[in-house]
Amino acid sequence: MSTAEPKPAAPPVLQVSDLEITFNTRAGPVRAVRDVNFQIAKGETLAIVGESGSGKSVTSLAMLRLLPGAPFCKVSGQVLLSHEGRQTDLVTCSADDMRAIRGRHASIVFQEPMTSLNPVHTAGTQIAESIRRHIGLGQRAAMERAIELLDLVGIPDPRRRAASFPHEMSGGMRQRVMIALALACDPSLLIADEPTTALDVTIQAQIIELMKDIQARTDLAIIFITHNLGVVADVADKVMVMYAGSPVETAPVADLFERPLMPYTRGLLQSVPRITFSASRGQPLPAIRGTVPSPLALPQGCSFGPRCDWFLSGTCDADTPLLQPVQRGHDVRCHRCETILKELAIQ
Amino acid sequence: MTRFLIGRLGQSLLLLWIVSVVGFAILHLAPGGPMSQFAESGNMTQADMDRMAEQLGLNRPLPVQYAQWLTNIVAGDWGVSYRDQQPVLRIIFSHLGATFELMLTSTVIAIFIGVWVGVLGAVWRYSLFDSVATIFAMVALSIPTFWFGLVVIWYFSIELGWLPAGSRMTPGDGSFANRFHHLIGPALVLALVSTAIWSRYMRSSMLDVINQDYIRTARSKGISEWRILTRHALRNALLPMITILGLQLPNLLSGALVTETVFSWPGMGRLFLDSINYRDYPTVMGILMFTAILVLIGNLIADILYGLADPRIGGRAR
Repeated sequence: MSTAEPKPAAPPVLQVSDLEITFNTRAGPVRAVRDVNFQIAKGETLAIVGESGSGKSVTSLAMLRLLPGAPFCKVSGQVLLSHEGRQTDLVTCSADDMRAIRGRHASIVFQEPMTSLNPVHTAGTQIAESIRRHIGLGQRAAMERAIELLDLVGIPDPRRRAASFPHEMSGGMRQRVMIALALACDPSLLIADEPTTALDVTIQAQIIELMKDIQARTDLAIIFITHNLGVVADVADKVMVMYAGSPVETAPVADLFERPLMPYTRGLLQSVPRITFSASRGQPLPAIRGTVPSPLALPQGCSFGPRCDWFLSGTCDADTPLLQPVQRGHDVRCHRCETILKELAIQ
Repeated sequence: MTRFLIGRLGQSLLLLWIVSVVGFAILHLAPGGPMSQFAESGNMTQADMDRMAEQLGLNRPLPVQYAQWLTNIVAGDWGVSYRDQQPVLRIIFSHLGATFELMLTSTVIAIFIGVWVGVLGAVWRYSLFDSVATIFAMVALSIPTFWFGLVVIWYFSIELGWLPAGSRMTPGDGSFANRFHHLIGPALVLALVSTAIWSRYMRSSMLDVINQDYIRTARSKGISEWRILTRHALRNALLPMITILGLQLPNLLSGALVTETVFSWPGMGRLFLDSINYRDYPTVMGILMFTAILVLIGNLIADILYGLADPRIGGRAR
């Protein structure tokens, strides 16, 4: 868990540039996600944070090309994955290349452990299938490896559990199986799409500890998608906050929590309940007023404008702000962030 | 398992009894009776008729007749046909072969084609293939079987002369080729409707499965689309088909009334129709009970198959 700069020689594990996702709906094309730029190095964890509908899950699915294809959906931009000393653009590579990468170099853990495993195959078979596909082990060797993986993710009695069906396991155990499945071929990138949202709080903590533990051992790059800011503080090195389909603030995790600059991020952080004995006790929890705009009807200018306390007529509703570096490693998409910075300095 | 089977047996016996009461009542409520055909013959006097009715037990009150029939069948005596004095069970068994041959052929064709049409229709949803398959299925389901059978006979037998117009084989020629030749027409007519049924059920079951999260998981493992289809989707989509198989199993032996009649196929369906026309009470009741037993066995087999195929149901024993 360090924010050390990646060595200049090694390219980042994943480099995403100008990712844009458009869905063709009955009401016309909808740009669900745009202007997504980030990179992630070995052993680093990037948290993507946002409300439901902010485009964070769609972004994760698009990176592995798991969205429905054309004509329903169009993805553009560049998603460069480094593996075995070369780089592949996951947006443009062939379907065969994509299949050779999925599960091998880049894996994903989904939100719903209850429905993400096939009910008619045992846990062991489902893990072994990926190993046989990518590593080319025989059935028996692949199953042995699957049992090792189940052990690695902390499942007791892994040999017996490998022969169990998903319905015989709890949600937390199924999510461990999903993680074992994702790690089966020792990938360099793991995308975790709200992996703990459907779990009990105690199980959440265990799963997060497990992922941190594995990362420490394998130098895995993790993209952690969540709406839970507590989880972000716990796991992330870098954070990307998304609003209405585009990143509005990216920063090292400590910076973001200490000095959030984009009004939306500030609102998010303020809306987390805290147990305090200060004057704020007994006061209503501050909430961001209004609701997330529909991607079909984004407001003119800054998409957060109508909900923003810092809104300045003539500036914020004129043109769309760009994501710009304010400090080292800290980018903000806000016309008024200079003002906000100054006011923060006075305080 | 044993407890399950005993419970099932009790339910089944109750059901069979209800079927027998209702069947017996309806059969005897139907106008006419076994004696009516003799009444038309001028040679029979009223005394002859009375003597025959007495012999067959038809002059006694209906509940008494039913009680007599029930006692006999419980003891294993299915009665004797009014038509040719043959034991009912022997008549039934002598017609089973023809029916089984026809129904098995058409069912195998229907399942094979229907399942694949359904699967591909779901995978290529709203494609040209899917639209054509949907239209065909709707047409096939809407065509009356007797009419379609007659069209097949008219076109393939009369116009083109490719197929025989009916019956199971040419008298005196029981070779495989000859039997097969006779089988084509009725088997195709029967397969048409069941193919349509299978394809519709399969399509909806498959559509349900391919949108499941675990299919996305399979895709995220990088395995081929073919493997996702066969190992992950099909395995799950076929589970509900077991129910339909259970519903179709009895048909394998109970036959197809209309098609067998149109093609003069000497099977159970035609036997049933002939027996009804003749008011051959023991045979009709025999076929009715035989079919009811088949339905119950078919459902039992389907339930057992479910336990074997779906780990979520049979899993407790593991």
